[in-house]
Amino acid sequence: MGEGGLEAISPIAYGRLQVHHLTKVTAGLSALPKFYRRILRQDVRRGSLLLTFWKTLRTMWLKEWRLGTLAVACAIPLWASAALGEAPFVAGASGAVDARVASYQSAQTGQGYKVYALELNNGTEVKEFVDASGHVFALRWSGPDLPDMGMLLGSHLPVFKASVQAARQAGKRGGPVLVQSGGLVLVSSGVMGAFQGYAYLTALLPPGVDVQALLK
Amino acid sequence: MTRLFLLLWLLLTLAACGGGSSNSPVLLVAATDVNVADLLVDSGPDGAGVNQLYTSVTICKPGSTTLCKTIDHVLVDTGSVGLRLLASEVPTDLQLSAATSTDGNVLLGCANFLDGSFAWGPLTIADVKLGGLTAANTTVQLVGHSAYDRLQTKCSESGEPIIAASDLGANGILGLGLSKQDCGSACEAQGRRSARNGKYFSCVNPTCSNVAGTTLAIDKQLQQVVARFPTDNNGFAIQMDSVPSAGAANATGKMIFGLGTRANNYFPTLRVLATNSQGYLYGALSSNSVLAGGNFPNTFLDTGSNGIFFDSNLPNCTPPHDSGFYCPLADIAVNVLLGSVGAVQAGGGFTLTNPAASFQKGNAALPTLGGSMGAPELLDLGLPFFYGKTVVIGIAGMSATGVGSSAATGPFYAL
Repeated sequence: MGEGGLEAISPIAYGRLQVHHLTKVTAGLSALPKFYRRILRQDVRRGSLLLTFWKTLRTMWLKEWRLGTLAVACAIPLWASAALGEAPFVAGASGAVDARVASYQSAQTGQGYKVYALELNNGTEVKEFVDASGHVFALRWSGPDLPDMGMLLGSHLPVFKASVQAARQAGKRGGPVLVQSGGLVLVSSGVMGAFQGYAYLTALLPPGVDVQALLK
Repeated sequence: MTRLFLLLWLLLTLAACGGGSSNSPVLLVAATDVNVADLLVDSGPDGAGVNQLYTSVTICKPGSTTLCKTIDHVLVDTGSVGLRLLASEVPTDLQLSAATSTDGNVLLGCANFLDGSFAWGPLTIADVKLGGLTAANTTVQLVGHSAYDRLQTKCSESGEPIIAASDLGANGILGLGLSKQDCGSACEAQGRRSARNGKYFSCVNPTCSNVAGTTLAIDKQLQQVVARFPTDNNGFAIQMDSVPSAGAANATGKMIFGLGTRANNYFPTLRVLATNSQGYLYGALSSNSVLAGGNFPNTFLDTGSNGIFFDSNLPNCTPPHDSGFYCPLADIAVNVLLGSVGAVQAGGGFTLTNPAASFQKGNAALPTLGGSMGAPELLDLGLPFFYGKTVVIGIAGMSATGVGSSAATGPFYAL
């Protein structure tokens, strides 16, 4: 992380965010341009993150108004958690990226959705499918290691865990994982060294999108 | 062990009856069996195992013949690489030394499984014995070590950590996959994944207040144990006895180490099937009036999967059985054709049955268990496929002359 002391910040500045998310805030900083990081660090020391936030946005607005607009739209949900049903890991053109993401390609646009192609730190590639309102409605992954399911599924992680537990109790061992529960459809398959899978939220599928074709 | 003694007794008795020369048979047995380990399928340490393949592994303090422990019910998994033992099964009086980084801090391993469960814990160095062969000074992961559980979120937040035998249905995992190491060159200093490989971590200080991702030289990584044997190290065969399609409480088999190295490990009639760089074969399943069959470009043989998993039009089971399993209305005989990169070369077969009755009986060996894969290109030939067959695994980069009609270099399967 390398940004010690941020854990001490009051979560109030971030409204609905919980302390848990602050480590992600910290992580997110390293991806910001140096200029903004400096401002943030100064104000973090003063313990006034709310002020920092406002100052950063104002500066961004003045310096790079286009970027600023995007940042205003994306910053809070980006740093919040960026999982299924939430905002993507990459905040559009501003280039602010979750620290667990090693690299990403700019969004491709489909009919009623956008796609972000990310490479996670562990080398696994993730595609995020984002609807018009900025929510991730589907994810696909493939690569040498399982992605952090907590990172990908966010508040839907308990559904995954419960399904795994139920399947295990019903005799499933070691094979692929298929979840269809609580509005979450998920497949985790492949073999060690070549993991693959997908997940989507049925309630968030944009009208007219053929999710099976999308996730092929 | 009991089986071994029975066998010795039997041979000694036979030798005695056969004319009185009592010295050679014992030597003969020892010489023949040194590269053989027993395999077992039973309900396992948690009593709930289904199609879980076990062997016993002996670990010793390097160089010692007395500071040893034999651990039973270690899962044999051709889908992973490296020996991972529950820390609770490895007593401290073995005096195993920790594997450490260049600055002397403890190294730890992390392995994620498909269901989000994960193996986290320190690496240690031990002599590892399978049958009568020893892989000296081999890296072994101790999983669920109480001193490091507090740092497990560094490994994963995807699911449940493996701590106890009930979490795994086994006392450890013996990963005997196609590769020589768990990660290989990608986790080395110059590797593509480098220190952020997610598989290896190092304590940041002697008290291990935290851990950080680390690179790890290939020879320090978790190893395909067979490849580290001084002899018989180019591959191995899994020979499982047949199990009736109705299932059985137990099943047995053998692992024979080495290919073409001894009289007991020549397999000239098997077909060698080289895998692609990802470890996949090309597979095809036959069609009939019930099953659509089809082609599966990414086919693999995984004793760590307890069913044969592929996508099809077959009906899924309903509760209380997992919907990931197939519950066909009648038995379905399926032919499998396997090949290297599109060229079909070897065949096999299996039958799929509604597993409900066998589940109810509490059978641990179910040769007809199948289910959905969730990926149309993948065919996971799990343990049921192995019953009644000899399946050979050729380790990557190792050559063998005893399998098929000519010399072959791993990674390959032969059947």
